[in-house]
Amino acid sequence: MKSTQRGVLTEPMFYILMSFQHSDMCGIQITQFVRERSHDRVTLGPGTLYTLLNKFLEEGAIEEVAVSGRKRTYRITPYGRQLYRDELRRLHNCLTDAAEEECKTPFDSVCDPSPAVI
Amino acid sequence: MRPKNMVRIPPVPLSDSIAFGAWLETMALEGLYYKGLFYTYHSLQSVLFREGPPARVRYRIDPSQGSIYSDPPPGLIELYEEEGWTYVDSPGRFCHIFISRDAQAVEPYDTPQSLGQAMEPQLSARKNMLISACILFALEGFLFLYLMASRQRPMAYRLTLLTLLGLSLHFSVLNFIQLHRQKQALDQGNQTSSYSGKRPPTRIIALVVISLFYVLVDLYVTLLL
Repeated sequence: MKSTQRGVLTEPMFYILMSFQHSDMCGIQITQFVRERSHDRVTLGPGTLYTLLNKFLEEGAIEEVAVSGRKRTYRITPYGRQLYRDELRRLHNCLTDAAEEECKTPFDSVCDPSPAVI
Repeated sequence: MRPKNMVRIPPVPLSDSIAFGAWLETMALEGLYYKGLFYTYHSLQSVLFREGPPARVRYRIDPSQGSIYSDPPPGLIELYEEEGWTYVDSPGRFCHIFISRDAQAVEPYDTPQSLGQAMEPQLSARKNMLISACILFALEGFLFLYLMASRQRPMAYRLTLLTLLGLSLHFSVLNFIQLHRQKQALDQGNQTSSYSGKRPPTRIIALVVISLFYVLVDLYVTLLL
């Protein structure tokens, strides 16, 4: 499935895929990563996380790599990585557009079109 | 002294998971804690409670995902336990009940939409049940009409079967509509419980009335035609 057919990722989905960028993760590690990375702004409930992990597994965005008792470890697939990068690009474009639009505002003396300002 | 067990008829069906959870919380405030559910086909439910000290607890009902009618997957229990929830039971095996005494425990579903998304497999299973009930009822109804048309008096067991299938279809339709409405409300961001305190077990009354209706129809067909 191509990301264009899939639609945009929700914020929890985006953070879950982000958590896999550097290592394989289990559910608890994902929850902790998302909480820390978003500075407690995004909190994943166990039900939400389980639903999204199942959805990503079905779509082939992640795969299960190890099962140890109740602990399940997942790995991002090339398709999942592509999904994440597409969403990152889309968000970056949105921020760039918004930053450019800010510069058009009259009486706005300070104008920096870099997305970081926003 | 051993804690007593008590049986109560739920005022809301288990398929209305938010309302059912709210009812369990109300019962816990009265010192009755969920122990198990006698689950017969569709609406006939009664809940077994264990007596304990009244306390404010939280019950959450997680819809089964992936393989419906199965035990909770270990991965799911692990995630819940990590956030302060304890697995209680899987009544009817199409949902999983969790309890938490911690008021700060993270909500299992942070948005109504995510709970709605989790309900999709269950809605699909209910739809399949509804289709099966329709097919069975149609087949039995056809056979029944055929026997009538061929001037053969339908046998008692066939009437009973038709009644049971009619009831099954009736509650399949009710359950599906209820679940569908609940999911629609969740998708629109509305996660309010339909349970607002104690109510008479209307579903049992409805069941008796509908059963009587089918029995009367059966009697009419058998005795007068």
